[in-house]
Amino acid sequence: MPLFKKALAGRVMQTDIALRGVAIVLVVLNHASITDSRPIHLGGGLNILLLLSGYSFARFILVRETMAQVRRGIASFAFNLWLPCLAVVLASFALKREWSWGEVLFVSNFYTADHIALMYVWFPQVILQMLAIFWLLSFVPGARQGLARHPLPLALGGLAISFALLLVLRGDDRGADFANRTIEAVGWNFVLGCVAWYITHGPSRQGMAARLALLGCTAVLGLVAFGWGADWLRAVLLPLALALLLFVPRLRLPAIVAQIVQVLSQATFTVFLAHVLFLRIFDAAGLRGASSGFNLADTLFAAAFALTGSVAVWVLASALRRAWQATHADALRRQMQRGIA
Amino acid sequence: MADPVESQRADFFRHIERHGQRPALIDGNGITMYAQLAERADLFARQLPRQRSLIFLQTANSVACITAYLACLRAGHAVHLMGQPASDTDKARLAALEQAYQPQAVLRPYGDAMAVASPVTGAVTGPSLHPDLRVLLSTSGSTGSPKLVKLSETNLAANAASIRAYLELGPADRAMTSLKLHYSYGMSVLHSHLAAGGSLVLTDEPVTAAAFWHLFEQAGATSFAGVPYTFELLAGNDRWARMPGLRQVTQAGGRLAPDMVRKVSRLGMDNGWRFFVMYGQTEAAPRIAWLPPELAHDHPDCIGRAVPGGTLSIMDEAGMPVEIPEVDGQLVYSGPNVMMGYAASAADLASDCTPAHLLTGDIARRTAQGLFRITGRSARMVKPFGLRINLDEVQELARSRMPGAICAGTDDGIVVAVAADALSAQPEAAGAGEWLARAIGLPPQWVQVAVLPEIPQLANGKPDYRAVLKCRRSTQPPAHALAPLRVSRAMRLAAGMDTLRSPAFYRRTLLEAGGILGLVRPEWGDVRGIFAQMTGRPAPSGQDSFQSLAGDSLSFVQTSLALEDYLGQLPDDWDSLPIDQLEALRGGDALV
Repeated sequence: MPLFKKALAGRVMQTDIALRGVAIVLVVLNHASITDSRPIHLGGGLNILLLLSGYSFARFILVRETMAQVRRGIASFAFNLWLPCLAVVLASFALKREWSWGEVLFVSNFYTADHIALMYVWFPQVILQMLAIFWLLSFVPGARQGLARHPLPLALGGLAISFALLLVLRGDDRGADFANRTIEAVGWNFVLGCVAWYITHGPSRQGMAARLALLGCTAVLGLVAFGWGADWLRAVLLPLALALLLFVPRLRLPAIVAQIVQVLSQATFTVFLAHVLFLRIFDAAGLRGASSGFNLADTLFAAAFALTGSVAVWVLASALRRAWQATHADALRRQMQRGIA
Repeated sequence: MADPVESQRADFFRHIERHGQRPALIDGNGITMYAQLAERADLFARQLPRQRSLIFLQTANSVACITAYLACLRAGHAVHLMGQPASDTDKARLAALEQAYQPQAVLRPYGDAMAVASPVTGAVTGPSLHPDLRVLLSTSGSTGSPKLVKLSETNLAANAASIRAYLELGPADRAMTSLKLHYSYGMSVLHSHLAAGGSLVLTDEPVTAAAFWHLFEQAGATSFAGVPYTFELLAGNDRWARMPGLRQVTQAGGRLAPDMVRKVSRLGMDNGWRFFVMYGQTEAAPRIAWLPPELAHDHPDCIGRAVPGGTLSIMDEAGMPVEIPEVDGQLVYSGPNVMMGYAASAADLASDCTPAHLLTGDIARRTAQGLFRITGRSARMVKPFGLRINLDEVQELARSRMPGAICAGTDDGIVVAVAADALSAQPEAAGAGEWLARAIGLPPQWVQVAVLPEIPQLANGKPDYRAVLKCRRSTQPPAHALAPLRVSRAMRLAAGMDTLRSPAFYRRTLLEAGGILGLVRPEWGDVRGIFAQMTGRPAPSGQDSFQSLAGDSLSFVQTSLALEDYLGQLPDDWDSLPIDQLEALRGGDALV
């Protein structure tokens, strides 16, 4: 098959995987375009990632039989998330010679939108705080039985409560940035992911009408939460991602696009951790134009630079790890044979 | 006053709460006491149909699965214990089986719990069931034959009581669940321990994994059950034999080589535990004979004597009993554990066709000491991994793709010989081998297809199975199955240095990077390797799934993409499917 035909041939991907790739590109584009004069806020990528985190959380952790298993799953997930983030936070402190207990303890999003870390630390903070809440809830008597018998109503109840918290606690004067980074502001995105999993899978699986109702509610919640001002894109992207999760379990993409999305989706976490560093390198190297205002070409160039750099880090780390596992096993086998001989 | 007959009949499930606060099941989450188990089973039973029904139960080594099984039994239902379907072929078989038997509910693992699902047939009324029918088991579990063995409560309780008696099981005994519940051997371990008020430690770790023995020690286990393959895997390292607390080891599921019987027996004598060689068939629920441990060393080629309550005899070709020692004949068993007959359709579930005695199909002789020794098989059966496989059925299956093929085998593997002109190309043979292995539920390396100029024949024109067997290439268990117990820290360090000095490591890094970017096709060895790499668990077992390996959202993307790349297509519930079942999906579509 000629190369271009092969590249355009369709390839099917799981929608949640494809969404990760798209979401992380949005995140990097948003952070590459932060200037006062930008025509549009490209926010929404991290909200989609929160949604997907909740979706996976319900899929891999909440399905476990006992609360002890759920707690172990939560602890393992939290540890795997926390350790690399802490490494970036501490490395950032060392580079900048600054210190923040709030960031070390992953609670700074409760009181400030500023951060020393060379990453948007509020995102792992929100997830870790959500995990802490779920961990505490796991001690509620009857929680396991309730979750086993009525997962969807419970998840919907959680969604209602988390959104109610947003309505009750919003409206302070700490600024829009701050307001979008607190657990009460975006925690409902995570819970929405859990609802999306339960409504599409397992015994609580629902039909088209229930899914449409959830989508409609999400559209309204998105408008209420994000408004139709500068952050209107968030209000659009979140329901759009949810719609794909609810109605399109698999997507057919051109092979070349699928390959790129596949690499990006695998590298999502590393890209999240490393892209800010590459954006800073981009700026420090003077690669951005002299103009202080918004420049589309500069933004795209910076985003491509950050994505490429972060993905390269992930590819190298993954390739080294896989090569180590493969060749180390052979070396070990040789050592064992020597030992036996 | 309780009727003693009734109390024995119901021993292993109906009155388990009488063991109260004794431990019944132990897993990674803690201990489930008998009273708790009974309560949970009764709670679960409320989800089941109210009227006595036929229920299909897909098994897992989990508290939830055993709870569901006991719930079915305590509520008076008849249960077909079965493995979990993984491939589309399996699912088609299950659908056909449901069509044939019309069960009213299907219980399957959902995460760590058990879900009650409606059968695809949507059966409401269900088949008519004989009042004594309790459990249905597949005779082989391998070729998808709808032929099932019918077992009554009497069969099961009598066999549990027999095993309990000769193993001298009591409340202090604690067995590791090293076998699947839908294998009759695995089922009997459960029944006999519940009957004795003992306990079971639930795990899917293989016996070769350090984690298995760590759990053994931590949970205070006293025994484990193995098929011949288990002991082959353990042969390279005797550390397991010195495990504190080990009180007994049982072996069944096929013939263990006499040398190995001697070796394990000697290990037992040296380390203070007893080794029981046993023999059985699913049709006897399943235990038929046992070899007293003190005789194992001197009579390693014997199956021993009949279990308590049963009788073994030898029958000649004319159907007459053979009383003289050392004369071959068919081994015949009779006892209260002999099945109610076979079922091939829903209509057969209403009848009781208990035979007067069970013709085992094995050729045996009685020794001068009164022990029985198997010398051959009248039917062409093999037992790799303890799975009973009829070579004639496999041959029939093979011929659907390879006309004229003949099949030979031992407990170590199966060889299919096919004439070169029956296949269009050599690569087709390898593909056919994989397909056949998948169809009968064996790892691909256990089934080999030999392409020969012509099918070997004996002088009388019959197939020469010995010649076919000689075509077998040597196979060895994968290294990851053997490695965990043998590696010292010094070896690891030396291997690490070797790796860093090796150009192969750097070449491999480049290759892996190319694979990740889609520039070269990644070379995935098998599903187990993918799981090991992506989840960081060095030696997952065939029963592990992504969920059981504590996979999370950080590792699932890479894992699912690697699996998709390796398997071609992933089922939606791939994350809950065991590794073995995922491996069975390999190449399926390509061959159809």
